[in-house]
Amino acid sequence: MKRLKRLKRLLCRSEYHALLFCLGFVLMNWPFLSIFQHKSPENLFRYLFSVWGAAILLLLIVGGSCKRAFLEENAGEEKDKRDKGDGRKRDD
Amino acid sequence: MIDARIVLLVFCIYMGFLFLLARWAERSSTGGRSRTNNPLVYSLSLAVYCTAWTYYGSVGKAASSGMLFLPIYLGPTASIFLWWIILRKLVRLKGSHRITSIADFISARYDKSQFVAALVTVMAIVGIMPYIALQLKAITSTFLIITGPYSGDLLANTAPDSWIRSHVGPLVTCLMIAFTLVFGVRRLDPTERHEGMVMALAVECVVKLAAFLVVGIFVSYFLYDGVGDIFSRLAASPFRDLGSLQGKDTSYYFTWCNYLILSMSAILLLPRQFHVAVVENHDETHILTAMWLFPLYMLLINIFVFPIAAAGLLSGYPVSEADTFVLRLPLLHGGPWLPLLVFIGGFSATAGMVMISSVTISTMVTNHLLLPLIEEIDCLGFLRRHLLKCRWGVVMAFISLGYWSAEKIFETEMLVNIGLISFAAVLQFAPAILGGLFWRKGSKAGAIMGMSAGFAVWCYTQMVPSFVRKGWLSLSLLREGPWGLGFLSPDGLLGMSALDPLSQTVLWSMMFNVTFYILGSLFFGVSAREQSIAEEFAGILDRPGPISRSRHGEAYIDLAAKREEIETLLSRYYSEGEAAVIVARCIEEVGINDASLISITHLIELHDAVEKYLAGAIGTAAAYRALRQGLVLAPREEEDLSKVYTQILADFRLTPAELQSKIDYHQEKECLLMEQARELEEKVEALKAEILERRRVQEALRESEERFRGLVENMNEGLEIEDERGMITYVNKTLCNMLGCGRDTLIGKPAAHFLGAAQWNRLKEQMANRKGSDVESYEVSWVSNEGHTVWAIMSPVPILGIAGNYRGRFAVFIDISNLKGLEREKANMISMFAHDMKSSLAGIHGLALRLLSKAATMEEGKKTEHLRIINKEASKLESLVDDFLEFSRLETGRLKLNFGSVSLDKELLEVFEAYQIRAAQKDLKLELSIGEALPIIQADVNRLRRVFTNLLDNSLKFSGERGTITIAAEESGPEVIVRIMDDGIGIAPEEVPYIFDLFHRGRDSEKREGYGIGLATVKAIVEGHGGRVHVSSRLGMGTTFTISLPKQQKTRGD
Repeated sequence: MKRLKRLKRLLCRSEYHALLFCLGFVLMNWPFLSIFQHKSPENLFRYLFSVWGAAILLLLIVGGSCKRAFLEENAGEEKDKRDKGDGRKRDD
Repeated sequence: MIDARIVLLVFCIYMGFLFLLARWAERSSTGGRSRTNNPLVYSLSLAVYCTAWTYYGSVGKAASSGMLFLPIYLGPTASIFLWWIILRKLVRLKGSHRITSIADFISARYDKSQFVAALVTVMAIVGIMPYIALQLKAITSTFLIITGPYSGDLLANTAPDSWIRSHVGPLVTCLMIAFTLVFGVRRLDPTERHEGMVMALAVECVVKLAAFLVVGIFVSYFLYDGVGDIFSRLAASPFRDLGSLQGKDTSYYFTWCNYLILSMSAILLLPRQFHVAVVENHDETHILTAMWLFPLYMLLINIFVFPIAAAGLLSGYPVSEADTFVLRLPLLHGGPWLPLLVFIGGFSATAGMVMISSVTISTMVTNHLLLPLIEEIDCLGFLRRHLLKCRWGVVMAFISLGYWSAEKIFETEMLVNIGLISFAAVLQFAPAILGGLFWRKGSKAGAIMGMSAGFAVWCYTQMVPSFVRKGWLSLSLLREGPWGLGFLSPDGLLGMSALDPLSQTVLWSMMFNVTFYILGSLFFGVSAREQSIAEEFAGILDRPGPISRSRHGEAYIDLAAKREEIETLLSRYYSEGEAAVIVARCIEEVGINDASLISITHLIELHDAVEKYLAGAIGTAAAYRALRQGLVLAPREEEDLSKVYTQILADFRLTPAELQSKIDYHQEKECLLMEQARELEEKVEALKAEILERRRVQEALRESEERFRGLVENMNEGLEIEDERGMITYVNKTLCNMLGCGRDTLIGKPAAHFLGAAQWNRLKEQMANRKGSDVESYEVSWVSNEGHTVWAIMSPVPILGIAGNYRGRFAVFIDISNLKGLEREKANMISMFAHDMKSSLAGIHGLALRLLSKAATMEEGKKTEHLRIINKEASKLESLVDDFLEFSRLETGRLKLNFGSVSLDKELLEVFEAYQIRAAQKDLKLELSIGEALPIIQADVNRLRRVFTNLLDNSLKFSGERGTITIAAEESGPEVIVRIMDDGIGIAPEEVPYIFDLFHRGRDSEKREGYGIGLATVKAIVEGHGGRVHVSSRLGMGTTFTISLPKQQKTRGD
């Protein structure tokens, strides 16, 4: 449980986000694409959309974790907002 | 073929629906319930990134270059991992600096420089123009396809040219302008939020995704047996290498990488993307939802791009038509509704982009180009009051320019290539923005140098080749480079021709941009103010944010008391109900609605929330001042607040000099705000006083108008007013009565309508001969609706304006019909008198002549008879002259009464005895009835006797045989009443009011003797005695004349 919490906190760190960005950039770019140089377009299509889907899934997880962390950081203000659903934090 | 009118109709219905939706969202927002303040709408609005370029252009790119369309969407997905850092910073800075556009943001970072903002604005206009051209080109071409016939020939587009089809480009441009103005530029909003437009945008994004998915499913699963089947057939076709990386060299990967980089910057730095992602953001946490939802949207809208491209090629369409495969395939194989759906989806993709881009460009142009110009050039000062109209003008110009460039510059380019040109343009903002967010040493000089250098390279490598291909510049510029320097050729700078033009642009522009940015920043350094701003920008996420985050402290302040205090303050500007609602809303936003006691930090947050609401009504400066003056902290509250600020300042870790600089800056700002608030208050007071004065003047004017109206309506004279054309605009009641018709029949008609044309022409001539402004009167007549002739004196007076110009005329009419009648009667009477005098004189003369000629031989008896007749005629003449002398005195008011003591008993008895014989001769009975002895009165005995004799003469004249005439007299209070009653023919009721009028002789007057002055004399004599005379009569029953004479004489002039 503690490890899970640590992992979730890690997901919210900006360094981790930068790492994921670099990973995504590389996976969606050469040299990884060159793996499919001799493969069919269908395999390349599947690969790209799979990486894309995985990135979206990861973003969903990261987003969820960050939201929880953000809300906990603003505990006094956000407690009511959690009760009401997605917050209406004032802007401007 | 689908009829162009049907397409337009569906199009307009769809836009009408979007407009209603936008109105609903805006109204909800005004009512305090924002429909766009939710993560779903926010995420969908980001999908404005997917324009016609995605909808049509990606398929074109896939058909020509395989999977090379995908990096445009993979890049943003990768960069979204950094959004929680970058985008959150942008949103937070937007809130603290009230950022309204990307130009605003960059300018705010670099010393709030107007020049930087203007430079960014110009770059944005030039850079985005190709993108607008792309959208308009897509709509125009797809409209022509969908309304053209499909004859089996894939390349045929031979629809007869209807007016709509031949003018579709300008028509679409005009519609786009109209929709943009309606949706996005209806008012000036200080926050530049457009809730309605965002809501419409979100719905458009859903429509385009749905349409594309429907087409994708149709092509993949109805035309083929799934995506796998398409790939299988592709592998067996001449296009087997499409989508494959086989044979691709380094330049291909470089291009792929460039596309990734371009799209990573475009997703936030395109002005429209910046607007929806940053300016329209309500809540930072929405970013976390958009981080996965938006990439999911992009995945779904791209999943069928390659299959559709492959299917189009397999169907035999050429690659050059690939941009429109998504429309042509349904047209070829589907019914009319699927292509229509596709077209609407394509339009949704276009309209959203054009609207948002045009709105943001117009905001930037107005704020950063036009307003500075207005400040510099005095004669443009009037434009301050017409900023909204200026924005409309910018929108119209921008979209029109986009259409022009689509027609003249980019007409042969593929859609996706046009879009990438814009991506490369906005990439030039990236170093300045990223440097501004993370590098504290980034300076204004560096930003200007970097952006200018990068933009110049972009223009040289992207726009110049386009102009050369159009023939606007010499071809030698591309082949041999400028001045024959081949290494400076736009197509291959420094000989680097291995890369495609776009990759070259990215490479060189970024190289120059980043280099000049860094060198410029380091060389020129940063000022103290820039340093302060850089610190704030770089550390915006490190700050504690609003003070409520972690420093609530002890809750001891009574919320109910503070609530009441704030409501009292707000009730100066709102009604009590509204003030209560606002306070409740603010308390809910701060999150203390369940608390009875709050901390000092909650109180300050509450004050802050209230100030922001109030600023919406009275402006920031005035709200600031109102709160400082209206809401006072208790000593303990001030002390606790001071402690909180001390702790916050300690956390900031500022040096004393930095702290002092910040304090000085904010103090100066506060002074400026207070001064501004004071000036505004004075202006408001002056306006209030002016309003009160105007109201007072209006009230006075209204009263004056009412008095005038009352006077004019009730005056005895008729009044008519005409305008400058001579048309009657007003007639009063009296004139209506004189004319015998209603007001409505006269208004709007010329005066000749009731005066008659001939009389009117004569009058006009007379009025024209009038000298100067003399008021002259004219005698006019007309026949009233009741049929009788009305005579009047008309006095027209012209109405002149302040400048002396003729504005119309008013005329007063005095009814002289009675006077005319009197004149006629007088003339008749004089004629009769002359006739009677002449006959008497003729008789006297004749008899006198006879006596003179035959006196010697005439018998005495005859002589006596003649003399008797002469005497009688002379007496008659004398009486006649007396009557007329009496009449003359009556008319001229010289009736002189000789008062003396008169015994009425005696006088009445004498008159009675004198008339007994005459009455007997007419077989009439004359009676005298006097009660008790009548008092002696003061009267002119001769005149009084004349009264009685006149009345008795009338009674004798108008009584039939065997009638009775009664003379009665009695005392009644201070008066003596004498009645002369007969049972004669009576007087007709309509004659009674006029019976005492001079010359009035009643009906059948021509059959009777007399001149009509007898009763007038009676009345004048009785009134001369201070009495009254009254008549009552019934036709056929008789008449009673009642004379009331005072016992004591009052002073009455004679």
